[in-house]
Amino acid sequence: MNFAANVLEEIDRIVARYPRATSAVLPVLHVVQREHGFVPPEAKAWVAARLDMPPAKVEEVLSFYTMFHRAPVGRKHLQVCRSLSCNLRGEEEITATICRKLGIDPGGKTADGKFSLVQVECLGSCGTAPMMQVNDDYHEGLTPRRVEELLEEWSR
Amino acid sequence: MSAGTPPPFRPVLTARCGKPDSHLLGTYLADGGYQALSQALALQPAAVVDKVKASGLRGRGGAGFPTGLKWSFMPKEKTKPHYLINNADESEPGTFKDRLLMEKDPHLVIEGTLIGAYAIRANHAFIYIRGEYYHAYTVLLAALEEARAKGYVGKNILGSGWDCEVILHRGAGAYICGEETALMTSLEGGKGFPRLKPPFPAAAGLYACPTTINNVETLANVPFIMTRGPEWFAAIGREKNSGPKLYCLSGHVKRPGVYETAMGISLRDLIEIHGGGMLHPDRPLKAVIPGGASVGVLDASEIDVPMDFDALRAKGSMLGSAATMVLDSSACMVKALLVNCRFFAHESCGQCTPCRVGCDWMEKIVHRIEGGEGRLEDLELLNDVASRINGQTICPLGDAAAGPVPSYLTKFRADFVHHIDNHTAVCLPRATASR
Amino acid sequence: MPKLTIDGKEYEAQDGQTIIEVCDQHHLNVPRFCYHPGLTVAGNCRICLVDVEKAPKPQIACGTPVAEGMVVHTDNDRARWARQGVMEFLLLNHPLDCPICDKAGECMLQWFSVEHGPGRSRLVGDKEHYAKKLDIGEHIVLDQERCILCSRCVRFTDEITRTHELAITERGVRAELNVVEGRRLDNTYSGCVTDICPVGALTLKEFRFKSRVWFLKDTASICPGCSRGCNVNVSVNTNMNVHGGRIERLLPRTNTAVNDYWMCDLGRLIFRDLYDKPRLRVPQARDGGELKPLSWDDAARAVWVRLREAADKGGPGSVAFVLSARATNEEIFLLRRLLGDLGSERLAFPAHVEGVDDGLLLNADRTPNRRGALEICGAAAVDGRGLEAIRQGLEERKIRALLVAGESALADGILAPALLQHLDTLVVLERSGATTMLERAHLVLPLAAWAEVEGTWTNCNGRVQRVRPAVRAVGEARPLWEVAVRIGKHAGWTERYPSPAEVLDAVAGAIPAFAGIDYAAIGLLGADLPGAAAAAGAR
Repeated sequence: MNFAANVLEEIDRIVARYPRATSAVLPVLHVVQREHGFVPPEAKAWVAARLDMPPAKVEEVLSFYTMFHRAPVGRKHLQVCRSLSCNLRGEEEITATICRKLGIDPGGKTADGKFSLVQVECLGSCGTAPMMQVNDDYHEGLTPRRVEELLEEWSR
Repeated sequence: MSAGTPPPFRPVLTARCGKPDSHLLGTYLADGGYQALSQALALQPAAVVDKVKASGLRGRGGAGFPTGLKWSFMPKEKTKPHYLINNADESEPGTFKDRLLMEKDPHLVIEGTLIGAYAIRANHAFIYIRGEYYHAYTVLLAALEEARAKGYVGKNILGSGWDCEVILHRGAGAYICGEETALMTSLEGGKGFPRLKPPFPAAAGLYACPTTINNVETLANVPFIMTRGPEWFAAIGREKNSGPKLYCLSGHVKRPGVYETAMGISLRDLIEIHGGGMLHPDRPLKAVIPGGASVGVLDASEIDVPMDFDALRAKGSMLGSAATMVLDSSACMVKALLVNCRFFAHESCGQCTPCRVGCDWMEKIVHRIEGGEGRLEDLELLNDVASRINGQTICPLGDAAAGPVPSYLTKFRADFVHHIDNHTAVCLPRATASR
Repeated sequence: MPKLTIDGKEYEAQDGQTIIEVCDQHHLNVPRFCYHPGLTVAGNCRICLVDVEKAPKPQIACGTPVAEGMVVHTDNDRARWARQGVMEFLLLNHPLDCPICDKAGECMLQWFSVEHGPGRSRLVGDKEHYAKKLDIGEHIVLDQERCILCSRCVRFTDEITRTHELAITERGVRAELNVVEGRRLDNTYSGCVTDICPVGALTLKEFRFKSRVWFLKDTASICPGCSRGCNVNVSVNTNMNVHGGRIERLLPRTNTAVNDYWMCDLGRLIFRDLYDKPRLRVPQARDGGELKPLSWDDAARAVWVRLREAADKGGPGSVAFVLSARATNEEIFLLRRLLGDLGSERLAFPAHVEGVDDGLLLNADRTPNRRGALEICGAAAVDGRGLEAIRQGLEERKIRALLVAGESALADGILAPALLQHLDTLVVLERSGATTMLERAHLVLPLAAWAEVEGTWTNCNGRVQRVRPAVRAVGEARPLWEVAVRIGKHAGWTERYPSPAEVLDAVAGAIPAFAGIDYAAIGLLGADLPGAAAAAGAR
């Protein structure tokens, strides 16, 4: 596992914030994912050693929380909310539009690695439903038209 | 029937949210920000607890537990570190009020956290924010930097001799981490597994130390209770259901959004006056879920109910996180229940038998019905399975998944029977519309 | 000391006890899967739900502390209804593997589904499926489908062995038990997870498909593997037409003063030694260069006559005994007496030390009765001085007769053939025939193995425990104590020793360290030597 010096320093600062090193496992995994785009298998042992926790516990954490990717995702990771308010306001059409445009199913990734699509649960944006999160950003008040525009824009 | 237009409520919690640069310290200070903290620090912590007790503030996260009482559970004698946790893991479907406060008025969130920490004699406060709220996280992070630079966070705050570190901690995608004991397990570095109670957090919580967990909106009320007084707070709303309240309106209404009113606005007024009424003029109201996916559904005849803790409980539902989802006549209640069952099955941590197996089973049954493969006995089966989850689990997620089920089956039986009798995946509203 | 009522009867409990602990203490039946007295409380299976009056919902007995005046119903309608729900959930996706599952007959899921289950499945459609037959360790196979996620095994590897190999990954109904990537369940106590697994999810490779458990007859005994003396149950198959039956497995037997609920893998599998080398079956005497069979009567007499001759010719100290610290207290006592009758004190027990004490159960001393040898024969006999003196005595040809019981493998070590060449008499008592010492022996007598013997061993902490015969000795092999009594008759002993119990009484009478110890006091859980340091169990 290779990290730039400044990233290692950042991790040191994160760990130092907490009364116990193991508390830093989520923020450190977020850093790992930010740096690599996902959490590579080698990272588990590295994080376990860094935080003095058993690799088994890092494995558990990685498999439990939905935001961690254990394999690379698309450059634009499309996370469409499918909970009730979004469902009532047209989520299924949004998902269908994306699937049609990109030729993938939920859970899939385009062959060129540009896009991946997952359905997620409530993102706390029910007032602007339907919506999706793309990487870190919210795209709210979607329409099928708007989704097509976004996909075209990102395809370029 | 509404008793006429209610007098406009002067926003308290959201007063700054529409202002430009509302998230900046300068804006907050110009508005009298951090004076509440100053006032609190001039009192003994126990006196701060008493003020909050006198206000009647009840938790805004979903459980509605009296906040002052919860604070008073902390040990009188401090033998271990005390911890305050601000639960910003807002994930209940339909809820988006804490996000508004964090993004638009982060200093209010911080000040409420600090006063809460002071009241329970903590020197560390954690804000556990759900991982997906990345924007709110960056806003809060910047606000904490500002606050630290000005001496509101850190050592010897405002010269009081009291130290307090505020640690902003991102989750990583798990609704269950909004449950207070699961939050603590997550914060300690594990999966979000809820814990058995006893021991209770105030006795042994984070790192086995006395801990208090409060919701973002709950703590956001505290600075106002300090500056305007508990009597002011108690006078808003009614007894035991007092204070300003944020309501999250979504679904088939013209103006979905967060609305702040006195606690106890009638559900009808919330929908018609604040929400602008139904989204489509030719699609009348069919159902309302008043407090999030975890609460029982109301039908169109039941919306003349005050939106507070006790009135909704008396109606067989709950205020919960005040996440009001409105469904019009185009909605299929089987589909709605399926979407909610799917949510709980996805979010079940898997630790205990009834929730782990039962939530998935409920989803499968409703899925069969919705897909046209249901049988009439599946209605009784679904009811029975739900009753075997409710009350038998480690944490309230099982109750949340199972509790509302009977309300769908009794109040919207026709939607279920339509799928079953006609062996169809086409829902009743669509079938009716196409006739 | 709170008083509470359970099923209509009042009980006095200790502060801090949970309902399930009080119930277990008084043998009241409460079903459980995830609860185990040797591990922390998890409270996840929910099968122990009981009705507590005034509580809004059923409470788990394992996680509810008792309170003064509490009224509990373990078996009323409310409790039974709650339990039936849980049982149904547990069985919903559970594979119907019973016909091929080793756990059948001792499976907790079977027990409680008979008692508390709904009796039929209401699932429409497919069960959830998971991986089956995963090789996760040298001794362990995992079937994820059978697993009910009670987490006992995870807690075991976290709390007892602290090796953390196991994890429950994923979430919700897709949660599964796993070893972590790149690791195996390979700690010294891995077999214990198959004991505590309530179902057949974790099975022992060495026992898979060997026998149905209802054919197994258990004998309470002690593991011979080291000086800890873990209490065990020896399971013998009664279904096979093999003389005395065959031992199929060893399981730990609960003893909170010695091993708690655990035993190590070395001990668990040590019974295989009994079957991997050919056994000596008849007494033999060298006649014209060859070993020929003779009767026990003749053999015993021959032993005495030759040893007596050597002692008369060579004077005091010309006879030496090399014994095993695997011998029982009774055997050691009788042989020391015999040696004494021959005018000698040359007695030694070779050490068998491997590694270091592991801090849990497994000790470096791999003999079960070194402590007994020490108390009966003195320090020099066990600390190497005695053995060195014998080796010197052989080198200087001062020792004319040597009796070696259970240590003939020393021929490859300290008792090299060159040292034995000059002996007038070499008597070898042994279990297995595969050693070179037999080529030099004048008399070879077949010994019964530890699983065929009645007697006592004294463990490292001074606890005297009974080893009991689980199977019959092969052929005409005899326990060493019986052999000693036969020889002793020729030596003129007048005492009657019909069984090891009488021998132990003699030990207690003659050796102050054993005062007051008898079979009644020892029972099934052992008795400490007076003045022995209090043993605190495995932890």
